[in-house]
Amino acid sequence: MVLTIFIALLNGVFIALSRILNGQLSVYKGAFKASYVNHIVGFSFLTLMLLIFATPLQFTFDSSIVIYSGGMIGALYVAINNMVMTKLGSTRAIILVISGQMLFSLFLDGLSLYSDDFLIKIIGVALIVAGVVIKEVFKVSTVKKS
Amino acid sequence: MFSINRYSILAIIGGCLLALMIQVNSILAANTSSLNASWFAHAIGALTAWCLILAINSKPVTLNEKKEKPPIYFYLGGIPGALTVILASIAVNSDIGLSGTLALGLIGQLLFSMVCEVFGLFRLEQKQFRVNDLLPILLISAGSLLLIYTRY
Repeated sequence: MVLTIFIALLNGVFIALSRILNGQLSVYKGAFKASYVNHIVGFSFLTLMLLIFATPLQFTFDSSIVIYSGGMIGALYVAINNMVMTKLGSTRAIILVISGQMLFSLFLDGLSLYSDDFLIKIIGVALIVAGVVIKEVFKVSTVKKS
Repeated sequence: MFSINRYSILAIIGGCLLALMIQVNSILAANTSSLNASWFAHAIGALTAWCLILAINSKPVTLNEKKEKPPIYFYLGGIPGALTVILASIAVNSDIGLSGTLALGLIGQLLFSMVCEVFGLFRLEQKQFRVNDLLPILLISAGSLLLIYTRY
């Protein structure tokens, strides 16, 4: 249990580290080139992993070709993330991305009025919206060290 | 008075794209494996990013990019990004499940980012955190945790 909690936390650390490094690279190379580098490096690393674990590639067209479109969305997402990371700072960018992600996944699920946990979902949405409004509209912002 | 930074709106749109991407990739992962799905996502992502560079270069875009060389480790962001595929699949298949993995992943991201900014790690602009800054972070985290637990 302690080990899996550590792994899950480390997972989050790696997500942030990946975004921070790529954001910093984009200062030198631009958002789109940095996104390209991110995908090529990740791709090479995963190819190595596939070879180490000796897992053959699996193709599936059971559902539809659309399930392969995640990478296209990802390339655009990483580029956008690079732009906002350098303009807003990493923590501010991360909380806004998380807010968008949470609210949109609710939309993707289809917010049903009749679900049992509708009230909890509304409270969750309200908390996120309140946080974004306090941060972005009322400008409760961080002080830069001079 | 009530002006919202356009990059803030872009960040929220980025979050929507992330949610969509995870949804699509998880269908592929369910049909094959998470490593396999991520390999395809990175391959197609690299191709797409390459096309985006070509499309952007056709128009004169003036980005105020720095001219000097970046440190080598700035190029390696893809490695922790790809490693999360493996870590996440270990965590999801353990006792904490998908909701625990997402919730702890979110906390790990925020804490790590705050530490990096406070100490100015990875050449980030150093920022001092005040108690006020914690309020929006806590609200958004609490709201996200509620949504994660109702979803999974």
